Amino acid sequence: MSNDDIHGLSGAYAVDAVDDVERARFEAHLTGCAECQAEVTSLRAAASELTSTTVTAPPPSLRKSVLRDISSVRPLPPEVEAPTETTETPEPTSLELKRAERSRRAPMRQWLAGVAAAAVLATGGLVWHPWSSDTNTVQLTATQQVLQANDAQRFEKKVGDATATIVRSPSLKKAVIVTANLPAAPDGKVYELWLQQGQTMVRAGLMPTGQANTVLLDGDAATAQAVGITVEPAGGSDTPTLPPVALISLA
Amino acid sequence: MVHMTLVPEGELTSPPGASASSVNKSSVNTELAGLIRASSLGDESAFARLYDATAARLFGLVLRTVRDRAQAEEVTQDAYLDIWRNSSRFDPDLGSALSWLMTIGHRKAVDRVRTAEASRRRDTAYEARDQAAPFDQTVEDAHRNLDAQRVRQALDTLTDSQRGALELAYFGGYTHREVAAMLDLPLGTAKTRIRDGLIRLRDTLGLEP
Repeated sequence: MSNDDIHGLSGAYAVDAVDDVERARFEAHLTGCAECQAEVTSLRAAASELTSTTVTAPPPSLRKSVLRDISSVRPLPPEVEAPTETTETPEPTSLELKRAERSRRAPMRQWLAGVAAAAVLATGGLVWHPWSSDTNTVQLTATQQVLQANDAQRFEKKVGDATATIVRSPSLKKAVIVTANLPAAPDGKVYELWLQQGQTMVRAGLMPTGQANTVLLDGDAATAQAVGITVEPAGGSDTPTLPPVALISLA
Repeated sequence: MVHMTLVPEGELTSPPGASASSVNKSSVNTELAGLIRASSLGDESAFARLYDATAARLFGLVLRTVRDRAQAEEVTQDAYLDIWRNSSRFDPDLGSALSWLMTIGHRKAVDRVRTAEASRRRDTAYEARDQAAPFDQTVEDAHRNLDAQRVRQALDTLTDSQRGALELAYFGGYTHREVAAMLDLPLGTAKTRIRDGLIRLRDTLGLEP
């Protein structure tokens, strides 16, 4: 999909008539397009009016079930600005990757919640305003470029309830991993990412904590045959600890 | 059970008129926003009132999309749990309360119908019980509901193809590519019709662009 026609996806996006990858791409676009944000908001308002034509009273038992459910669940806290992260990541080499890293740390955070929800069905994930507070970022990050690339390919792997989706752009030689429902790594351990290049597993970065993340992989994804996820001691390892948690084939 | 639906009392008793309706609509949304805010602080009785004011709208939407009553109840229950959990994330500056609630319900319903098993069951249920014309699934009160009447009139201003594409996308839960295939449209055309239809609907209903 070229950027020229991505604006035209606003209506389909507003009524969820997009697949997961289109959704991720459009949300990547939304983070920098105030016009589309306003349009999506107004089109959702229009769509929600359609529900006045299908009003149907639910059975009284549903009310009881709902109220019973909520009594045992705490509402989530508001989204507050997280403190500056201190985790060390390898210094990106190109300017583009520096930009990607910077925006991944702050404003992209809200957007990530949206993408993660998009990656997996029926998890309770919620997409409302994935663009949230930051509306002025026009510069596409490397992550966004991959998600919106014309030649983006998608590979998905489910392990238990967790889902890992790789979006790879051969022309950009980059891949992005989108995780959902990933259980926390054991105490003192981290998830490390790897690109399989022939018979060698090459380090591709560490996964931030949290069960839903979108991370740009280091290294040349165009030539890689697979993406691996392993559990390693804090700080990561130079060679993967086997067996991997998941190996996602890029074929 | 009029009091259970999102029909402001004033709308039922006052003569038809867009201005009266929109005034009521905005006060309803303000009230709903207040209930969502109270819910975010853990107020279960506020949430119960929110449920009472909106459940028929949300359940009707979900039922229309997933078709199967038992599944629609599950999805609606799940949606309200999400609404409760995420109530602090609602921002009235970024859209109305009703729109927020319906967006959550719609996404849940769409997720449900897109799983293979659910769509198989839905197809069976569709054959069995639902041959209603598009946008014409009325319940007893609905035809007296001025909101519904206004929306139907607005829908009449859409072209047939805009209305058809929007119907399949919104209530059918189909992707724009699927809609294109179903309506024999060139790829890329369905998303344009969906968007054009929504814009027409929005502008006819006098919603802020």
